[in-house]
Amino acid sequence: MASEPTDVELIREVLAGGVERFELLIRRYERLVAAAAIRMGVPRQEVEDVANEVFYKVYRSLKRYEPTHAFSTWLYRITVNAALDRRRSRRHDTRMDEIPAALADSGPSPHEDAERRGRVRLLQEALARIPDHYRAPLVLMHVEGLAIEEVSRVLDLPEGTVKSRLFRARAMLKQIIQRHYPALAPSLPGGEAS
Amino acid sequence: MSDRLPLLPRHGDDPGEAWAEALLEPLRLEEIACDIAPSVMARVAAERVAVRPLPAILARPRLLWAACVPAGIASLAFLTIICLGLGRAAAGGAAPGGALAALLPRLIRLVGERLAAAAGFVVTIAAPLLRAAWALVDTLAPLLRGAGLVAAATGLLSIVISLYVFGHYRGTAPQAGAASGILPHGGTPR
Repeated sequence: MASEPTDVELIREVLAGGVERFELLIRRYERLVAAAAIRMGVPRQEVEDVANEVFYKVYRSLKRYEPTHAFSTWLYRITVNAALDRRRSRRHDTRMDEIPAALADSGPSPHEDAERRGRVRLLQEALARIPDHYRAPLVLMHVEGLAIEEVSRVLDLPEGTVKSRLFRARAMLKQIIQRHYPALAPSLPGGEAS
Repeated sequence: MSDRLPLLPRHGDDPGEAWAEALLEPLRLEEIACDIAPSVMARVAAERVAVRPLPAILARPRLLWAACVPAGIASLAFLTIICLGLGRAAAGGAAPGGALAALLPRLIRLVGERLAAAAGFVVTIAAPLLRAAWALVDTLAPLLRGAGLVAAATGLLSIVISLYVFGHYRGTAPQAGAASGILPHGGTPR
């Protein structure tokens, strides 16, 4: 049984003229891009549009990809920039009363699922209160699970700056949770401060 | 309670990585459905149809520019050959050729004088105007380049047409000289 081609192999095939192989790359990463866009504050109804733009941009600049870093890191970078651009261009207000409509899901769900969705919605609201340049490293590290050096590469910032922004972002998030969403505070040693 | 966020948090304000990880865990677990591959691939395919590579000759402007030089030289050579041919074909050829040779130094002197006068005019009066004109030319450079190409193409076309006319009607052209019955001054031999 043939093994799955790596990202770099697929990219080489696309650049050699096998454009149809780009679809495999999209399938592999479309959820990651969509999730990252939502977590960066793009309303759910606009996520497909942003993801479409991201992959089109990726296709057009595929020659510039440097395989020394993971493809996903490059993809995150383009996604974060696209999400921030979208937010800036649309001047999305991050007030909490606008977020629920943006995150409204269709279809009925069981009670536990509804509770989880409600928690997710409140967390999105809380994150939306943090300024973009602080939220980006917070989301990339604590939601997307990237390491500091990867966050630094994605945001094109020195590691020291990323660390200090993370420190401030967590402090802001803690304050927001304390003030507006105390029920969300996790019962951890760190949460004792809240 | 103030709604302002702590942009410069104090030491101890950071709840720590474990706290953030635990708080944001539901976001990590959230499944996002997304199916954009068909639309992206359609966009990519549409772009590939719309942006076909230019024909090789249009994609190499330098080659075209280089081709203009031999085309110009060929035009000049052809003009010289035609002039010489006309000079030889003209009745006897010697008289007009001699007259032309006598006229040439005067012509060169006259052109030189005019050029010197024009240069003086340019240096003293027209320099600012020329600078402005140069800026205009610089702006219109793409248009001028296009015009240059058209001129070169027209020159080549004229060569082809001239060759055709010259070759086609050469056999039927009236012969000059005594054998043809036509003298250089237009009279007929007795």
